[in-house]
Amino acid sequence: MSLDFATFMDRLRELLPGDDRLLEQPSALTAFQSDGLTAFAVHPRAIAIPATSQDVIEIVKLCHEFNVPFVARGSGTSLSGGSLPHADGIVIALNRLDRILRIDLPGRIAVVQPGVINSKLTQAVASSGLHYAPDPSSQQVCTIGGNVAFNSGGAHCLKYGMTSNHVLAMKMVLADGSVIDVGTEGGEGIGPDLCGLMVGSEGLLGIAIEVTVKLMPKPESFHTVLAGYKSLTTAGEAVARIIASGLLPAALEIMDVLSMRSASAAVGAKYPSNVEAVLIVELDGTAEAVAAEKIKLSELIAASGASEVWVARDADERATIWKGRKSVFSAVGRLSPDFIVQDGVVPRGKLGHALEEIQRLSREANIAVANVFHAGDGNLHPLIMFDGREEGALIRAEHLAAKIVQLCIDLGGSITGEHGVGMEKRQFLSGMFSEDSIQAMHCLRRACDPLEIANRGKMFPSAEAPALSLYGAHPLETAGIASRM
Amino acid sequence: MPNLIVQPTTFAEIAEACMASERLLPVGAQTKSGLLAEDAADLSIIDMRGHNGIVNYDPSEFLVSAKAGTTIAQLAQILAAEGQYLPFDPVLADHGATLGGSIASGVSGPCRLLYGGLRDFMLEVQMCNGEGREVRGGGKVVKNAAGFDLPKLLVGSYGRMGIITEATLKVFPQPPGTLTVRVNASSLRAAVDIGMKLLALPLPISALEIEPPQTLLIRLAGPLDSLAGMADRITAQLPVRQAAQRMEPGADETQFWYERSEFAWADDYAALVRVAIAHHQCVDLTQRLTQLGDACQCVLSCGASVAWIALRELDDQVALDQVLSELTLAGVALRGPKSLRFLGDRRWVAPADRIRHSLDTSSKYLKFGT
Ligand SMILES: Cc1cc2nc3c(=O)[nH]c(=O)nc-3n(C[C@H](O)[C@H](O)[C@H](O)COP(=O)(O)OP(=O)(O)OC[C@H]3O[C@@H](n4cnc5c(N)ncnc54)[C@H](O)[C@@H]3O)c2cc1C
Repeated sequence: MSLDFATFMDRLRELLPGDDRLLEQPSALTAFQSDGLTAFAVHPRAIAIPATSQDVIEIVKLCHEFNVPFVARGSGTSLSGGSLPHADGIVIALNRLDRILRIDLPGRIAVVQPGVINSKLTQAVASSGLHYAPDPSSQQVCTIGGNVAFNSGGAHCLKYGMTSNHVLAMKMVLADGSVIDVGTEGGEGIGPDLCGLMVGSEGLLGIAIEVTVKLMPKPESFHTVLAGYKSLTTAGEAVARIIASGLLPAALEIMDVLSMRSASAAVGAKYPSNVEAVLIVELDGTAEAVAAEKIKLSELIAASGASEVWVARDADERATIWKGRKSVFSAVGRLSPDFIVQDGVVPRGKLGHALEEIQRLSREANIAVANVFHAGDGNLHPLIMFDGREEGALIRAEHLAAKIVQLCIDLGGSITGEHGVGMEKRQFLSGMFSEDSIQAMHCLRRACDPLEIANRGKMFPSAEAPALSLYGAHPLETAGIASRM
Repeated sequence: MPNLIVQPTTFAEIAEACMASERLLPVGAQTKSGLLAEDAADLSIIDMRGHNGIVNYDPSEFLVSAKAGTTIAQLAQILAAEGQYLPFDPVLADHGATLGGSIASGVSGPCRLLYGGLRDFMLEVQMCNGEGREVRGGGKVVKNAAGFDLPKLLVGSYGRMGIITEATLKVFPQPPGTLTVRVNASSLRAAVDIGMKLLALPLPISALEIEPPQTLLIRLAGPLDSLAGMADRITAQLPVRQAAQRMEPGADETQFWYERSEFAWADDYAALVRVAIAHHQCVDLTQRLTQLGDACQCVLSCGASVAWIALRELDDQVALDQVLSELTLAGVALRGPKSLRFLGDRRWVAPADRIRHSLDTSSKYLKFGT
């Protein structure tokens, strides 16, 4: 340990007195070594656990002063390695900043600390008829801070947008320790949209310490349909039909056979038999509007070649459909010991082609891939299944994942719709953006983080610091500092 | 030195102009003249109107890409032919507003309440930096989380962070019908309270404006045969004997809101200032504005999140600046004296310039601060 780092730790200890606010023992470090992408693990030097915004600010200032990398962390459910620790740095665990600071019901906003769990916010305002709309499948555990960093989505993005469309303002401590306020309570910005820049910046610019979000009235009426199809392609065509009709459904989701099987195994979800795909369509709005639109929808679905159509008759049936859909990620664990999930986006018109290609690549590699996706926004979620105990299986799965990401780029889409670039998809960023564009992003980063200490080694293709590479053993692994689990 | 005016029609010409100039300001149709520069500021003014045209429009993808000089009117027309629209309700289309200028000024119209403002519909942006290099952010898909969100960052960049050359926007199907309810509340406070109550209901309210002293305008959007029922629900929320009138779906109702997105009500005023507010500041603000007398008119728009303030005399801008500062409200003059384009609370300026500078490394664009 360098003298500097020892001094840094002394100062950090002064800042975080007590024995549960600065963790250094190996067992504690192990608890934070991975995020939702468990294929990677790195022990950080320490875990700092701030209790107040001011603590966070002081910790960041100290990191800046001593040039120590830090990784902000919410619940660690990132699927792209975004909250993977840095071997030379510390993790700043924000879970104790879990207070809802202010709810303004007439103004339909809430001001929260970053460690607030997504679904807790909706619960807190439920009795008022309002809700926080972004609903990632991980909403029971993930934090608003993590959602903000990744601009997380969910099943209802087509109509209601992603996290960034629901964040009105933030207080941020930038990586150099300066504190800025961005955005406005009413969502009407003056000057460049810095709030828009900060959301989705993957923890590379600083840490969000207060987040003002929009609360929306809960739709009063839903119409949720689950339709079974003999092929993924016909399900995909049904989506195109619905979109072309001028309807704007709140959700349009497709699950393939493997996903259905996972959801059945995990939560007992039921699906029509003998179908290759199910399409979930949800209309929402006022009773009047939904009544008018559901007639149109049922005509469209009837003409789309569905072999079976189930309509949720009440809130319970609707909840059952969504429970199955939202369980898929965690449920795949029942079918396969390990999996990698990709979340590339393709233009909606190319969904059918993309799915056929994924199936072909899966056969070619002899690796099972379950497909569940936000069809309305062309956001794929291929779940690549493998057994990590098998020699070389992870590497083969990663190769398949890489081909799928490349496919999305080739089809004019994006490498990530909602999970972020993180650690995992860094080298693909240059497939989407030119060197000049990436350079501009570097400049933006340095304006906030001149030392590049915030989430160092993530998002940008050039590894700037020791971090795990996706393919093959990394020097850190060989040295025993980091490991793949 | 007088300003030099350049009229490029291609990215290459824009890039060339950037490289050849020391100081740059892109302009569109100059409908937001308050954001522009003084007459003799020794600048190269890049008139973007010649760089126009739809790059790609596929209705089934819900997105449209166009060059920055494309007029909003043209965009709206092409979308309307497919039953789609720009849900952020672009302003000043009739005055010739361009896509690039609309993004750079960051202004959404009164009917943006259903799904969000201009920023919420930005999917991709292409810009030219001071060195004439192409920088892109976002992507041509409706959902994307890769890289920093440059498309949003450039909203409200006022031509000071780079030249927006092309953009891709998300578009939606146009709601089949609209209906407006006008309520004469008992006071401004009552109007705001009713407005907030209505916005908490699960109704598709696309616009909610308050015109002092106490008029409330509510616009509903949805299937035609659902509108009357929803309007009934609005009137049911009003205090007893509160007068409410309806503007039924049709050309008059459409024209009414179109004129509001053109700020027709402020045509005779010298300055037009946009102020970001919250619902609980409406009463204070309007009370303070009465000090300015008849020379000042104000409309509270987008569900009381923005105040549009028109001034008859340019000189009154100083007094308005004072009022906004006292209330810690930030404003920007879309029309008015260029010496005072940013009013009131200016705390946003320093961080904005810090970010601005990182993109404009050769310092060719204007600063936000002086
Ligand atoms: C079963 C499962 C289902 C999922 N479903 C979805 C889904 O439907 N949609 C979706 O979008 N995602 C989904 N995810 C991914 C994940 O849940 C989201 O990315 C989530 O937003 C991460 O939140 P977190 O609190 O776990 O953040 P973490 O994993 O702790 O952190 C994520 C990133 O945010 C940064 N960060 C955390 N807090 C802050 C802060 N306050 N300021 C700045 N940066 C910060 C971290 O450094 C890291 O880069 C799923 C994950 C799992 C495991």
